[in-house]
Formats: sequence, C-alpha cells, structure tokens
Amino acid sequence: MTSDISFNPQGAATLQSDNYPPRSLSFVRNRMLPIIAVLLALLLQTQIPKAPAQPKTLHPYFTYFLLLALALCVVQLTLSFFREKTRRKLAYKGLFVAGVFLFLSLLNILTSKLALLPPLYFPSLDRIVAAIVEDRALLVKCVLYSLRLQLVGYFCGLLAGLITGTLIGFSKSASYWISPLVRVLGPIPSTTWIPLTLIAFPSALSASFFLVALAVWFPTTIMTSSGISNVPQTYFEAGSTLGARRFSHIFRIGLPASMPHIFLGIFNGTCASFITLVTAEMVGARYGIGWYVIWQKDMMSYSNVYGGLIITATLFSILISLLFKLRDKALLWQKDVVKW
Amino acid sequence: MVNSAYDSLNGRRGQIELKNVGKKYKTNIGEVHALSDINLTIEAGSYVSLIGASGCGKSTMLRVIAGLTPLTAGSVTLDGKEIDGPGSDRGFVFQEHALFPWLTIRQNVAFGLKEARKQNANDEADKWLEITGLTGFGNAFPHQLSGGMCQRACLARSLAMNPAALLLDEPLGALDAFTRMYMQDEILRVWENRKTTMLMVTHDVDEAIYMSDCVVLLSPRPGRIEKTVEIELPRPRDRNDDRFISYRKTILESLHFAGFRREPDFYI
Repeated sequence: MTSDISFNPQGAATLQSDNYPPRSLSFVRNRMLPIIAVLLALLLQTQIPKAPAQPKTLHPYFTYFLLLALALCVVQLTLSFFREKTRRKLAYKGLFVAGVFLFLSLLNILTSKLALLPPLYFPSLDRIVAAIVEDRALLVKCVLYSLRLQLVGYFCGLLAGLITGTLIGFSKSASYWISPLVRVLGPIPSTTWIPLTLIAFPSALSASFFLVALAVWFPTTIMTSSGISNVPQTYFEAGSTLGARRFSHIFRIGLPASMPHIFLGIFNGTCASFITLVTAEMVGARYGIGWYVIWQKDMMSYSNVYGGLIITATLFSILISLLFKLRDKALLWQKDVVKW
Repeated sequence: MVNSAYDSLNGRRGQIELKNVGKKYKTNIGEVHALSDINLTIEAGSYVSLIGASGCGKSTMLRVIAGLTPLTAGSVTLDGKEIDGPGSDRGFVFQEHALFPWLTIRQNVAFGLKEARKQNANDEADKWLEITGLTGFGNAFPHQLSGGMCQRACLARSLAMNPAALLLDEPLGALDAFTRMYMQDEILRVWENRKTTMLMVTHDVDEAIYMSDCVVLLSPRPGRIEKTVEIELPRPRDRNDDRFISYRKTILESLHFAGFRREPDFYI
C-alpha cells in the first residue's frame, strides 16, 4: 500500500512527505520507532552507572523525563490506531523523534556516563532537567518579564512601523522627509543604541521597551512601504471606478494588497526583536530570560544556563509559530503562491 | 429574483459626449499626441466598439471617459455632466480582470457596494453572482477561477454599482477563442436586459461587428476617428451571414488603409 505512493510520480511531485522518510521502513514500524528509541534511552540511563566526576542530582530527573516521553509515545501510538491524522503524522515524524532520543542518549553517554567533556561546562542531562524543574518559580517569573518586554515593545514597534510605512507608501511629502531618516537610522542594529538609551530614558525598562520597538519598527516600515509601492496601479484604478476614495485606497486596497510584504517585514522584525530583547536584558534588566542566562553564567551554573537556553528556544519558537499561524490565516488568498 | 436586479433599470441614461477631446503625453522621446480632436456622441443604451491598430489611442479614450486619465483639451460629459475623475457611474472592466486577489469573489463584487454603504451588500453581491452564472463560487479566491469566470466576476462587480455606462477595455482579449464567443453572448445578455451604455475597446473585428450597434474606427498618431460604421443587423447575429461578412470587409479595408495608401513595392 505504501510502495504505491512512492512510485506514483504525481504524489512524488506534490506531497514531499510521501517521499521521506524512505518507504523501506514499513508504516507500522515507523510509528513504533519513537517508543523503541525511548526504551533504549531508558535502558542506557538506568543500567549504565554514572561517572563519579558528574555531580549527583536530588532525583534521577532525566529518567523521569524519559518516562514521561514514553507515556506520550504510547498514547500517540494508541491514538494512531483510531485516528487517520495521527497515524499519518506519527508515521512521518516517527523517525525524527527516534533520532532525537538517540541523540539525547549520545549526549547522556558523553556527559553523564563517561564524563568525556568537562563536567563544569557540559552538565549531565539529569542536571539540566533538574535545573529547569528546581528553578521553575524563578524561570516562570523570568519568562513573564521577558514576555511583557517583548509584547509591549513589539506591538508598539509594529504599530509605529505600519504607520510610518503607510505614510511613506502613500504620501509624497512623508516619503521625502521620512525615508532618508529610515534609511540612515534603520540599518543600525538597535542594540547599538543601548549606551544612548540608558541615559535618555528614565529607567532601564523603558529603554528596553524602546529598543525592542526599534528593532521591529525598521523592517516593518521598509517592507510596508515597499509593499505599497509594489501594488499594481490597476487595483487602485479598479477601486476608483468602484467609488473608492483615498481612505479606501489605503485601508481597503493598499494595505491588504501589500500583506505578503508586510508579513515578511514583521517576520524579520520579530527575529530582530528577539536578539534585542535578550541583549537588552543582559545589559540592564532585573529578571527576564536573557538576564537569567547571564546571571547563571556568572554563577558558573551551566546547567541553569542550558535550562535557560532551552526555555528561551521554546518560548521564541512558540511566538514564531503563532506568527506563522496568523500569516497563514491572513494570506490564505495566496496559498500555493508564496512559500517561506 | 434574477429580474429584480434588472428592475432597477432607470430609463435612458448613459449618454456620453466627447467634444474636441485631445490628449498629449510628455515622454522622454518628446510629446506624444495620443488623441486629437475627437468628437463622438454615444447614445444612451447603445453598444459601441472602438477598434483600431495598437497605439491609436483606443484605451486612452476609454480611460479619459472613465476619468482615470485627465484630458488636455475638450470635454467629456455623461448625461450632460462634465467628467472630472473616476466614479462608480462608469463601470470599468480591465483586460486582466483586476479583481482584488485578497478578497473572495463575493467580497470583490460587494467591494463597491460597501464603498457606497449599501445595506446587505453581500446579498446584493450574491444576486449579481447568480446573474453572471457564478453561484457557488462566492467563497473562492480569484486565483482559483478560470480567466473567463474572473472576467464575469469583474463584470458583476461593475454592474453591481448600477453604472450608467460600462467601459470595457479588451475585456475578452486574454481568453481563448471558445470562451471568448461564449462570453460575448453573456455580455450581450446582460446588456439586453439592462440596456447599460456599453463602450468596448477590441482588437477583434468579428467581435466588434457581432456585439455593437456602432463600430468606431480610430487611426493612429494622432489618434482620431477615421470612420464610424453603424451595424444594422438583427440580433442575435449570425457570424456567417453575408452582410456580416461584408461589414467585416468594409472595416478591414478601412483599417488596412487607414491613414495612408501604400503603393506596392513592385508588380509581378
């Protein structure tokens, strides 16, 4: 049944997921792979003794983690017998998930079991999971502080970017006066402004808001204005013959038509804002995920540094996924046209 | 249901008059005289085609009437009122449909209605989709429809504004031959029901004869009216009728020799 798909040239052209992972692995075995890999990892974790060089943890946290993963995998597999969607997804992702657990096992051997790497900088997985679990109250606080800084700064910058971009796109005089400013100020990485903002703003927090906003503002402005100037003139003309005036030219034609560009700008801005967020926190903040990582580094507590990094990666990838979801919804009209 | 949309037909409106219309463009190769001294009256409710070699100012003339291009001499009036900009009383159908790709077909048709703050814009739009044979495609996006369907949606979008005149800029130019003939009948059906004044630019002599009451031939550089041919054939017209063919002959001859008569280079 599966080999049919891989030999079908049309399927090969349209559905990439049908080509990979290779079909030599049977459908059911693919779905079993994560469980096998987790069991293997558990076996390694519990049966091989730890190297004495690695400090002990209160509990075998990585074992708990693996048990949790095992439970999730079993649930997924059970579900996959009843739900077509889960079945397809698991058959596709199974190999990858298994790969992840094999990689974790490799790390486990290198750090915890053999202590081949310096234990100070490369803590065991037990210690990393322990850091996240035992320091959870502070981590949650830091995530909330970062989220506040990110969201407030981000939306201010986004709004400002949309406004200046629209002004440049539609008004000749705005374009004359603002574009050179954007061109000069925009390319400067917003973190460069840190020394200036520290004296110009009443608090480190307001300075951080400004820096994050600045990071989003520039790409959003540039892409909004370039999006608007790339809207085919025919759309505005068609609008005019349907009775549209200036207001509608901007809000019902210009901005919707440049949404693909605008989202590209927002995406770039989001990435820039993450960099700025973490840097700003490292410099002048109390609490926040960037501050946490630097603070733990200064304390020489590398397990907490890794814990912080894992939390940061998770947080940012959730935010980016949300943005992609929003984009897919807003750009539904050009599905199959643009991919990025 | 279908007829109620036609009931809004308000008598005879849509008379277009062009008086000494001229249009000059400034370009990097100097001044281009796109239109010169155009005098033309288009009767309310008639179907008129503009035909001529490319670059003779057909589209410019249409755009001047639409108010999309300002003229440099003379005046254009619609029912006695001078035109000084685009408006929804003159619908415009573009060659490449120009539907808004980010709106569904229904939202496209409702665009102008919402612009005019009409109640039930979406219901009204659905009515027009039904008239143009697009029922069931209201939620589709333009890129999901064929060229012919997009052009019909564009027609529905313009007609929904109840325009006095509809200006069509090579509306069927991008369609294949069969869809084209089918669409010609569709447009005629709408026109016969509504009697909106139609002014169409086309390259296709057969299309002009098949559809119009009157064919206006333009000659290039500067664009001026070469000849006006009244088509006195009963509708629906037969493309193979002898008189149809003789109209075609007349027009093709006029077009071919428009402007200057060239001596053959040599005789055999």
